[in-house]
Amino acid sequence: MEKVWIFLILSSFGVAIWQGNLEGVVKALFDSTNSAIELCVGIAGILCMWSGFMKIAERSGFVSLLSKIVRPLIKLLFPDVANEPEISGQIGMNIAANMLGLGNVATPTGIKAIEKLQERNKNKERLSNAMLMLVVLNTASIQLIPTTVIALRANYGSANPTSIVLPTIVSSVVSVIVGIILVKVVSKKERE
Amino acid sequence: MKVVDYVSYLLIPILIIAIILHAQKKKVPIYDNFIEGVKEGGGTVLKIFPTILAIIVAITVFRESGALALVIRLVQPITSFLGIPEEVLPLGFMSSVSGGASLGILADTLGTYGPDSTIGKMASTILGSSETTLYVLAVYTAAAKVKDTRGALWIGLVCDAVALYVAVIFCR
Repeated sequence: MEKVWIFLILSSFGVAIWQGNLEGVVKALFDSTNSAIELCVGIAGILCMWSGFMKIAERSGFVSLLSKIVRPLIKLLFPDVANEPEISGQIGMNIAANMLGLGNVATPTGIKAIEKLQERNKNKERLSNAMLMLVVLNTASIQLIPTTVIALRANYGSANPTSIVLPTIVSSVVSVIVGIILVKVVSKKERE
Repeated sequence: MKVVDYVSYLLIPILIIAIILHAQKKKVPIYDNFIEGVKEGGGTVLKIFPTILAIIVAITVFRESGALALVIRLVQPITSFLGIPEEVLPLGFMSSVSGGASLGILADTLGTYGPDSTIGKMASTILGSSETTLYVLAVYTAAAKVKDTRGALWIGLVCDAVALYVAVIFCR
């Protein structure tokens, strides 16, 4: 990230000097700090509200209820560990938290799940089939409600901030299916 | 698009009602937990602010200087062949690399084109349907202490590209 950031700043000033646009860039530099403050103030409220609702869902067991619902899915995606309730429960929690957009639940549950999978992994140097599936599911978004994006849209005066929910679900589902197929292909090649 | 809007509107109240009714059934304190969650949300905002400022500053000067236009001109022949508008290209590039950065770019895009424009909707969908692949991969492989990731990065990036393309087609 550091390299990207340094590259952006330096190349910007380089191009600005080359194109004789230094005045505009310096103005943009100072104006941009205002937009950063406005942005954070703008999304703070909605972000806090969702965290509130999600805390209720977490404490009431709504999240683990969802993990029971996704159990058949775990059988399909993680056939190697489906019979181990401790691991599959952990994976189910991770998937459920991802779907609800609970970042600070998804990350800890995902880490715990991959550690448990590593204990049963025969080759400690490389990802097992189940571990590969877990990583790919977490890199592809399976979030149902993209709350941050909705908050941002509301902040910029959208007439219907949530209008992107359905397109987002369609796009997520297609990319997740592609990811699952690729993992299955890689896993199968390994077994032969 | 009217139906899409309506279903999208409907999902939020259904989720909230389900959460509250379930908590009531389980006799979990609803109001107290809500307040606690809000506090945590405040922490999240403070946590992401430095990244947002750093990225917005860098991205703004990168765009205003004309450097971004140079980069996009290089890849545009390929993406325009696929029907991807050049306005969403910066976000498409950044969403796999940095969550904070792509949030900054989305904010910028929404401010420039408007959240309800086709470009605005495409950009929102692209970010909503992508996870920061590099970050997730780094955290998980570090937790498991494995060296061989069996192409997980490439699978993740292919997923991101697919998500971007579907988002563009669906919002067009």
